[in-house]
Amino acid sequence: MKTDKKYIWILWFISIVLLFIISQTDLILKEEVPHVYQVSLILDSEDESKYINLKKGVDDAAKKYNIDINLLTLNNITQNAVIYSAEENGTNGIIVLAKNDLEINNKKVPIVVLKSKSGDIIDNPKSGYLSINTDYTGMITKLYNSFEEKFDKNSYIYVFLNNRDISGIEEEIDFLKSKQSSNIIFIEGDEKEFRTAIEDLVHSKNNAYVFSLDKTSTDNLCKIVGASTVYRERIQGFYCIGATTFFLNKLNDGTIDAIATVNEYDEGYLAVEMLMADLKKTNYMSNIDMENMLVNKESLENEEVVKQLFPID
Amino acid sequence: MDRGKFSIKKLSIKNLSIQSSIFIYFTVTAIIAIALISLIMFQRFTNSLNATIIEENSGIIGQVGESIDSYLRNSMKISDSIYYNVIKNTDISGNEIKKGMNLIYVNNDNMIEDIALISGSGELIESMPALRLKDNINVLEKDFFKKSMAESEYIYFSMPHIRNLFDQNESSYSWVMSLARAVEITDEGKATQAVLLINLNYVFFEELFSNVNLGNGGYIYLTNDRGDIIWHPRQNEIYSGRFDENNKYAAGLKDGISVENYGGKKVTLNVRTIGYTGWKLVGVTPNATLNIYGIKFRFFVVFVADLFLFLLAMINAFISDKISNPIKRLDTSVREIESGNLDVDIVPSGSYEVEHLGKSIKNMLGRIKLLMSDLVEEHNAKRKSEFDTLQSQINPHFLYNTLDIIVWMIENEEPDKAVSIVTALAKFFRISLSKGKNIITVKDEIEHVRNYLMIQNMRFKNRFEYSIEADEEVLLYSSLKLMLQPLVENAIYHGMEFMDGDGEIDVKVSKEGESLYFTISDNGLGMSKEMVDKLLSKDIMPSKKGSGIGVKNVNERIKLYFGNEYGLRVESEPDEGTKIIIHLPAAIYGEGKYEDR
Repeated sequence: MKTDKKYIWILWFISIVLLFIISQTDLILKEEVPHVYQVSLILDSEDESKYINLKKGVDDAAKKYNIDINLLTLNNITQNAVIYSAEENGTNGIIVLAKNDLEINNKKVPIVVLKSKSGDIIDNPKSGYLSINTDYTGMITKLYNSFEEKFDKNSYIYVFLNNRDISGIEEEIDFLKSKQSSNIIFIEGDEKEFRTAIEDLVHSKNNAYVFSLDKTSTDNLCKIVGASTVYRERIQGFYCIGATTFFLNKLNDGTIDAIATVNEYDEGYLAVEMLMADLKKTNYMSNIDMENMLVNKESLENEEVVKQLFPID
Repeated sequence: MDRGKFSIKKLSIKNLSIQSSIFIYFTVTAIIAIALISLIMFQRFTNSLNATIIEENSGIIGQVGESIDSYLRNSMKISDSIYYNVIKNTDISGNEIKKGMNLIYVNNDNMIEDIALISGSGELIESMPALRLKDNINVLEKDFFKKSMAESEYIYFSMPHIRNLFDQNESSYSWVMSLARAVEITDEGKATQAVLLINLNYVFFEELFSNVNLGNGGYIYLTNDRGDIIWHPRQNEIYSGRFDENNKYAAGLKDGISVENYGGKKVTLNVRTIGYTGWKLVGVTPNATLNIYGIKFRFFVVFVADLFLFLLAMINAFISDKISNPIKRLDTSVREIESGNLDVDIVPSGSYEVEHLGKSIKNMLGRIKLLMSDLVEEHNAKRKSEFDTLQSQINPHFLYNTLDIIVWMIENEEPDKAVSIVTALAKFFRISLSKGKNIITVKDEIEHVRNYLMIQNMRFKNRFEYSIEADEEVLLYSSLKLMLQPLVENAIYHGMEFMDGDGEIDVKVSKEGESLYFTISDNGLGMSKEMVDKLLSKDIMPSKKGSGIGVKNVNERIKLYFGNEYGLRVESEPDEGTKIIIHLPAAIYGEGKYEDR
């Protein structure tokens, strides 16, 4: 046999061995096995019902992307501490609600920030975090427009808020102040402060239109107003930002007049998609601006709106 | 460019060896065969896998279909039971309806969210559990009410929807499917129309589909006859537009299996219609090939194909070697023959045809050798014949001169001399004839040349002298007839012609070992070296003066009769005379070794 022929045979044999190693072992080529990602969803309240739709969206997307969702609540710990703890526990990614004191620099894992103010987070893939933005000014504008249609111009405007750390609150307050310089009263606090304000309103025999700028405040107000028809008589209109099942039922029974919200199911779903795109480095998703929706009692007759607001379990 | 052309030419099939040709043809055939077999096997494998998956999925879909069928029949039975056992012929003012509904509700509370009996005017007559219609709800406008009232025998199943008819827990909501039918109630003895509404728990209904997994990433979903989704594993994603399903198309399909291309993917749809409702249970199974395109699987297929090819190539190499080696050996032998070597050894081997070819070439070579041998013999015989012809042609001039001398002697009354010369001439011719033999004794050859010299001496009036010496022992050895006479003739004509009577010609015969040596020497004019060389060359012509048998012919005759190692050599110098030495084998005449052949 000629030498060059021998080389061909040897090279051929080597190619077979190489193919065997590639196809049957992990020495050269390691085939991707389905990887279960650990993702932490950090909410600011122990009451899951406030974010039930958001969580359904997250859960459905988690099924699709093979993700194990670890739900974390603050429990009197700061959000940054929970994020740090999740990172230390080896989470692959974090989905977190935006708060004004949220620090997201120098994080070890990809982070998607929900309900951040539009323009809060710089849309920069190198920054290590992404956001789903809510146009709070747009929401309060829609809500205010709805209120304005019914406003008698003599009543007070009561604006309730839990605290100013919640994302978007400042913009909403600024908007309302810009629209109403007089007769507008801001009440910041909890149920106690709210009840006192409502009691004062009733005793003063004045009427008021109520704005609630966060879910906690809306929840407290619904409980207070629902407790006595006297309160309801003094409240000419009730407008709130953010939807839960409870609020929607209150909207249905007429306690609440209008709710400005976003499709939270979509928001949760998109947050996971965005996080996975970042984790898998498949494609970059730019920050998303959620579309606002104004829901009133008539809207609940619309099957499409119902499907968005009441996802199936 | 030239190198390129050369390479292409080199690659041409015409320039390939038989081994390479066989190897290439076999290997290419093997590649095609393996590719075809692999393709067919792969196709068969995927088809078989698909068939298995579809078969298994069909079984699962059948079971789920039966479960849904059973669920719907149960729901209708509950409805029948409430209607015929509780409501019908029972006055609504009594407590019996409530009791009966409660019993049925308690027994089926996991399946039923609530039961309500609504009057024809839209008022809630009875419900279980105790419910209150929401404020501002106009039941008369609701689909279930309108359809039930329109078709009294019809049991209406609604699409899944939010339970929104009654007051409920403010912090939660539930999805239900409504079963409604028109019923006849008795109100204070009067029969009137009402609607029985049973809200079926959607979560319970969903459980019919839980843990149902079709193979190969398949799934099932349920639509109504218009293609509206009743249940889908990704229902919320469909509602939010994040997942696209081919439900409208699937709802139009008849029961059975069909392969469709949707969203760029090939899927198998298995459709089963649920009795009564006309709902369609659709099983979606992605094509199996989609899942076996893993990169490692592809490498494995290449590995197996490569391994088979390698083994086949090795076998091919062995076979082609086995076939081509005898041909190669034969080719080498034929090339040897072509170059003139007829003594090459041909060993026929290999397959029947090649062996036969080898044998044929071997036989042909034998025949060629035989023919060539015959040709040489024939040629030799021809030459002998030619020499014999020449030999028989004694120069007539010599005969005429001799006879003239005899006449002259007789006229001058010298009869004794005339007798001597006639006697010598007679002996000369007798030996020339020698009964046609070419090999004669040395004695006869000497006698022959002696007679010739004597005649010539008389003729040339003793212008030369001659002597003949021969040992007694050599006389009986074999010699070639007319071997000496042409040489002596040359010596006379060319050596003595211009001499004045001092010419000498000496003939000697001696034996040395196994050889006989005849020496003819003269003291004539001699020759230059060029002349000597020319003397034995092929292109010299015999002198017309002599017998016609030249020195060259004598030499050739000697070689012809005794072999190439024998012959004559000439030693001569100008003005020094010439010496011709004949070398013959020393063989006793009559012992047959060098007899006429």
